[in-house]
Amino acid sequence: MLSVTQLEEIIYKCREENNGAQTALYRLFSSKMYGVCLRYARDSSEAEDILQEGFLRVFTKIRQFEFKGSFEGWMRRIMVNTALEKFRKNDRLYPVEEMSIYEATNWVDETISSITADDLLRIIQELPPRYRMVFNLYAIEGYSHLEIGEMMNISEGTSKSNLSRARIILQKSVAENFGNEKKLVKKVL
Amino acid sequence: MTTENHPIDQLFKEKLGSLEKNPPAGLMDQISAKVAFRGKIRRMNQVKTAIGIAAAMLLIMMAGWYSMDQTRIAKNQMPLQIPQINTPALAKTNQESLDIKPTVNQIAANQHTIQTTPAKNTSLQSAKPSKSLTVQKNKVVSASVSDGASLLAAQTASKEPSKAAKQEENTVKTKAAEEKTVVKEKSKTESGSNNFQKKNPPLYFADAGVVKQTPSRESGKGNWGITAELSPSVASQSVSGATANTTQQSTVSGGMLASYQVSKRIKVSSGIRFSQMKQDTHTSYTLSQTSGITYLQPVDKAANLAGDVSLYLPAVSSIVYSNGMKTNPTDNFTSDIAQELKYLEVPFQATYKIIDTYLSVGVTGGLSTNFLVGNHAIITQNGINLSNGSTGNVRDILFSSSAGIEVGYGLAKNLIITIEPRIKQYLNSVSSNDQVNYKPTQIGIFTGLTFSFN
Repeated sequence: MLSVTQLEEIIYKCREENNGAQTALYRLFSSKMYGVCLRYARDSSEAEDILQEGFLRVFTKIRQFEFKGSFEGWMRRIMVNTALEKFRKNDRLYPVEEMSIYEATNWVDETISSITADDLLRIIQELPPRYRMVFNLYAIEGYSHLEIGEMMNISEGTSKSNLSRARIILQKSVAENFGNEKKLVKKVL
Repeated sequence: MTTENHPIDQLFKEKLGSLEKNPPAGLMDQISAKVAFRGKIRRMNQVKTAIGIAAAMLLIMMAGWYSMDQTRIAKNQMPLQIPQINTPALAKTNQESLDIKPTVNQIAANQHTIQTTPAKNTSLQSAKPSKSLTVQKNKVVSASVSDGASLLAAQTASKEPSKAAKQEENTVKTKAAEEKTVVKEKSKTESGSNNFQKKNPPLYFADAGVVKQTPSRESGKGNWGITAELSPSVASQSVSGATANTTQQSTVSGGMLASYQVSKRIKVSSGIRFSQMKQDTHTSYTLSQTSGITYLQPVDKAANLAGDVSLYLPAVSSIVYSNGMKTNPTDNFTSDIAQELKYLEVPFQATYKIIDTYLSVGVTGGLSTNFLVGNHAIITQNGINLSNGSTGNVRDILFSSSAGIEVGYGLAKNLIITIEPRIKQYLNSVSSNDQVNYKPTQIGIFTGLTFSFN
């Protein structure tokens, strides 16, 4: 386990553009950050791009880190922002699809325990980009709809709508793959 | 931040919130390579920015130097020389002349006298060595101490000044006293101004001319830009039948232009530019007078490139030189004339980029309207200024076309330096005199610095 002092030393050396320190920092946080990137990307290839660009920004902006708060949190925000920028560049309008929603799903402990992270990762990556972004930011990162609206340049209502649709799709996917009770209640546009 | 207890949210947060996955091997090597590359780019950009700033400062300094140089040349064209006079009375008079106005010294140095009226000379010369002072509004102020032939004429004149002559003399003295006061006050003002200038050194700004030149790598549609440009220019004449010896002088032109990128390769620009024409001509003139203004009309019309020359002198009966030689208005008068015309140019030009990379190459062409803002002529003989005036029959508005090849290099993201050899052809004659057909061609190498807004 790395001590705070050791981490600070690595950060200071990274500020001096020390290659060894940069490599050490990458080894320390790359797996966690890659996990973040995978959630925001549609596949592993896009996640690698985000990770690469994210670390480049970390190394070039590391002087801006003022040792206030968690360094990991700071890196995580950079990764999320990098993913958001990539999303903005590639943002396209997706047709509103006809989808089915499930009014209720009986989640039992057995079902939950049988679902792996890779399974959920695959499901979340299949979401339309806008829904994936909103769901990640709201459900996992914990941002409010107001914050998400500002980050994504959309209204608060749009953010709520996107989250709702994302949940519906995810619920459907999970239920189809892992649910023990499927009940189609209505269709929405 | 806020969360909501939704089963889907909880499920994904639990399973993916702290997800860790090892990225593919070799990714760090790619990151390291990119970090090194970006470091190089950043250092190069810093160097380019420094070069751009240096180039901009150079342009400003050149414009400042040029401005100062013009002031110095103007002063040199009116040398102040005091003739060597042994008579104490004359020396005293010269001292008074010095106090009156620099122009007095200038004329004295030129060692010629413009005789206004015989009565004036007679009256003044009877009291002491003659001093004539004549003020012509806005044009020429001449006062001179006569020597040579005029002084001899004064000695033979009547020793008893008439009443009218005395009155005239008093008038002259009063005017001289007034002038003296004005000069002293002006001197004080200038002294104060000098002190101010010492504390606040003058700033010189480049005569800018803007040509919108979007950096080649940022040559997107709809970009605005602004360019400052400066160029040394030389002109050639296209006058047929000229027998005079005319020398074209090099000038400096520059300005500021705003431009708009219409498409990836085409941009249009307009703004304002300062340009000049300068020439020295040695030829013969005939003198004529109308309403108190003396005109020098070239014997060979075509030889005087810009037309007739008007000298704003008081009514003269003759021009007398220090050697006693007189030139009558009807005589041919051979001298050197330096002409200078200044224009403010409003160009409308387009540029088409043939090569659109970091080093861009494009062709430019356009039309300009030139507004006359300065007209100055100096008559000299044997290196001595005889008088100042202006060139007559000069059109106030000229039209010209231009074409050039522009080479640009991006110094930074929004900064580009350009060099453009450009040829400019005037489309109508500078002179409105039918006998003078003067449409000069000017060639310049414009160095510009463009900042684009995008």
